[in-house]
Amino acid sequence: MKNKILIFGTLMLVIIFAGETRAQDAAGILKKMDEVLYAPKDQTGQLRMVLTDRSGNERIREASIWQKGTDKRMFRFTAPASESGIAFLSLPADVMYLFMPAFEKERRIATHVKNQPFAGTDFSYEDMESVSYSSKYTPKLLKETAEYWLLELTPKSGLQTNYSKIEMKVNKQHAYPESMESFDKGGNKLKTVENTYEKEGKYWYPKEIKMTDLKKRHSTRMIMTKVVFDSNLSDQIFTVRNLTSF
Amino acid sequence: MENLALFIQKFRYVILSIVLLVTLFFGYFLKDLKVDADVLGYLPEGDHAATLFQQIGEKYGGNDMVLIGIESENVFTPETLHTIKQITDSVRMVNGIGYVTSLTNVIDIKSTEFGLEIGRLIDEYDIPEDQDELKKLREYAISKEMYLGNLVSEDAKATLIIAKLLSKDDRNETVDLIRKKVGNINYEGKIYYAGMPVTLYELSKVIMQDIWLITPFAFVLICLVLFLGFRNARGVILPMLTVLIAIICTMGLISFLGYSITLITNVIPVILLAVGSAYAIHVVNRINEEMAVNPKGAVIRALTYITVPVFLASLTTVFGFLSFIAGSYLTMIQEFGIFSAIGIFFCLILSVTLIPVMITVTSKNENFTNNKKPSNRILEATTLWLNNLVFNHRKALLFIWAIILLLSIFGITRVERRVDLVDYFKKDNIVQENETLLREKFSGSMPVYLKVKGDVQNPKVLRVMEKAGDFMESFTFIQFSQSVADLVKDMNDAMGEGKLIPDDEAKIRQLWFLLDGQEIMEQLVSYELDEGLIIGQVNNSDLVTLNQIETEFTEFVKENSNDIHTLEYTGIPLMLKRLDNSIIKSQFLSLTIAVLLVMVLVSILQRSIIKGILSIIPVFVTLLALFGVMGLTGIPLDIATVLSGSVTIGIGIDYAIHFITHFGVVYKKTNIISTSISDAIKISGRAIIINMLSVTIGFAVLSFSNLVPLQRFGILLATTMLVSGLAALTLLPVALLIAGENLKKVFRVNSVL
Repeated sequence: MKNKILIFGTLMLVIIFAGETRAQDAAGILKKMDEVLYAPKDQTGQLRMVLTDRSGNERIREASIWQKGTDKRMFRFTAPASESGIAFLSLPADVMYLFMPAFEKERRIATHVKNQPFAGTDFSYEDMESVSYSSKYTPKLLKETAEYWLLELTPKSGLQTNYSKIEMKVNKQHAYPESMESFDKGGNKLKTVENTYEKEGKYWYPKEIKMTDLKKRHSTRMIMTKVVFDSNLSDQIFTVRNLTSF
Repeated sequence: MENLALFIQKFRYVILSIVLLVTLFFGYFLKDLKVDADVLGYLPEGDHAATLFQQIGEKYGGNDMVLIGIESENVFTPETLHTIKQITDSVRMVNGIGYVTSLTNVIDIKSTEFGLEIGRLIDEYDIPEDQDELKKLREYAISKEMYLGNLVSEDAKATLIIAKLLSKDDRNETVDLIRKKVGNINYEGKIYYAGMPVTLYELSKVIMQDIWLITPFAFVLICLVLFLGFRNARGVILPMLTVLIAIICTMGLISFLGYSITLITNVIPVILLAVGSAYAIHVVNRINEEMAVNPKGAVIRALTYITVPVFLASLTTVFGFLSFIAGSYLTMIQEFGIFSAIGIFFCLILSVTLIPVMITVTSKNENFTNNKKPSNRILEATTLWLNNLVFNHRKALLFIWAIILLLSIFGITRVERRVDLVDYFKKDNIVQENETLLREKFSGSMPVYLKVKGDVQNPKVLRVMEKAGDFMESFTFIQFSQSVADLVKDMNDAMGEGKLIPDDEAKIRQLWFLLDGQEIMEQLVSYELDEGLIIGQVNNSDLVTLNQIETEFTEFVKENSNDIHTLEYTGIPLMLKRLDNSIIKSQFLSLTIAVLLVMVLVSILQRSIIKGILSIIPVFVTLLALFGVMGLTGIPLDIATVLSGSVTIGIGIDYAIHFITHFGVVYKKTNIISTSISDAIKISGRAIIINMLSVTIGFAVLSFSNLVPLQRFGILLATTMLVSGLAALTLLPVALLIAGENLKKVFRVNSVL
């Protein structure tokens, strides 16, 4: 009798969860992708930002970047000369500092409005966050091909976001996002992202990210060079004192 | 002329088929007829202010602003703020919209307890609910120059959402979509719309309404006048058919050639109804006269007589309209001149072809010998009375005209001018109401730009921008100005270095770094950072203001341009000023051209300069009366009333032409001045009276227009038609009587007829 109940119970569970399999799959894919994206303990590198406007004019900015975990990050701009030395320090709990060498002082920046553009690029502060997709979005598997999964991500309730949904192609072999299309709250396509990956050591990382703002007809390419992973960066790098000691 | 008459009779069926085919052809294109209400869109190409305005519009994201106003007891309540956010979000999604600025998405730079904050005035994802917080927000918003009078009124009871249109194409559709989207939002307070695109949207609607309401109305009234005058169906049907065909062909041609109906060309159907029917009236009248004498060959005899005066009358009118080609700043007025002239020409051709053809074709089954001379007692009594007046009360008549002239001259000194688009609507129109509301509470809806060319990160350039902003705000009619200098100052302040432009260019560049990518930057500086705008909003467009803007801005631009920065300015006020200049210029030019052309034409065709001068007397008197009436009644010169002068000349002279032609024919035969005058008053007088009344009534119908300038135009033209008709029937005969024996030579030797 006990066995029968057990079998029945298992059967019920199987039936209940069968409907969820696809969702489980999607969540599993997203989780796997997050693991790939946020695998390194820390990283440093050079970032080249190429800004292209609707007429094809290009502007270039360069910065050195240090990141530890997902919530400590420092940008220090190195080019053009007039912007050289400007630095951003992001700390946990949305705390952000800015240093401007011409003023020789740091200022804390309130970044509560995340749809603001970061440093003139098409990336908003929201796009720059290193917060796992799984914690922010509920995924749904739209399509599966031999090469990729197509996921639709909808924001979890309570999430402050500029997007109503994101469609994302996840590479099947390496589980990294190949491309993304984000939609505004009116359902219009707002931005597209195309990623090119390279392998450095044991990690796949986005060598180049191209973000296009369709409404502004403006695009930004972020190109990473000289990337180094897991060099045990000191916490001292991510301090206001370090920010201002330029 | 007799040959022409015979030709027309011979090829009557060919003529009928051609008329039918041409009408069908142009009638087909009526379906594509479009409306374009934009006055400033008709500024001539190559005009610097207009080109600069256009360029700025394209480069900095739109000159055309739709202003959505929200009014409630207090704007800073969670409910209203949520509504603002909702409207902002949904309007942004509308096709054709570039930037949307409102309280819930406007940039805010401030120094807080946490440090520097570049963000939004209100966090749209976290709209405050707490009373204290809302109160603080309200006080903060009103304290900041950037918001006060631009986004929020001083009493915090009204707020604006500013939507900039990307292009002029489909502007009406965009306005329509905005209204629909906003209409779907549930809100208890008052929501209203203003701004140039809304004004033009309403204008387009009104223009179409006008065409569909006024034209049939004029049609019916003129039919009535024709029936009362002729007392038979033919006298009504034939002129109206002629005009109808002419209207179809003209409007079809406008569409066929790819033009749109404008604020002014929408009056063409009414003009053709009023004026075009006149030629038909004279032709029908003459045929009736000849029929009464002897039906045999009546049509040919009538045509032989009437073709020249009708041709002359219509040609003068055509020249009156063509005089607009020269001297008008707005291409819209040129279009009006050309298409009216073409329409009149259609009327002429149809009057001397279609009418006789129709009469010969239809009279086959009709026994014309029984056709009695149409009698109309009132008309006969009127012509008798006029006759009596001319012969027995000459002094009283001259005295009355003298008084009219004196009053007119007094009135002329008081003529005003007006160019404000909002004035085009009636006082109770929603556009008037909303604009007034907006001008009271906010800084206005007419952008004026100072463009500074130079390195915008150079402190000197930023300082001149700051100066330009202060200069703009020194005027009472500009309450708000904005430039990148304001943002740099705010940023510098937030860095703790005071609300000023830093001397150090490095500092400016670093402040800039933070502003980079903000939507507002694209509206204020070029991508290449080689020029910037100072945008002001003007809330008044009376002529004193426009003049002041032109002189003082010109001076400011001159004084502040040097090697480092050069300044230029443009904006709607400047263009309205151009419009005003052009109105005066085209008034003088087109009047002069019209008077000269008409006089020369009449002199050549009548082969006598004296006849030309005689013909112009009634019109000259009428012109004085026209401007006199404008001055005395306060009707200003505007884009429509400016047309009245030349139209008056072109049409008003017709009465004199008919009178003099008739007088000349009889005088040549009888050699007696008084008999000739009597005969002219009696016979041509009848046609002139019918003609005058139908034209007067046609124009008077325009006073029912929803557009104020067209109302004024209608009232003025109705007046001048009466005056010129009466002058031709009273003043002209008196002049002929006074000239007396001197006329002998003029009429007997030189007469063409």
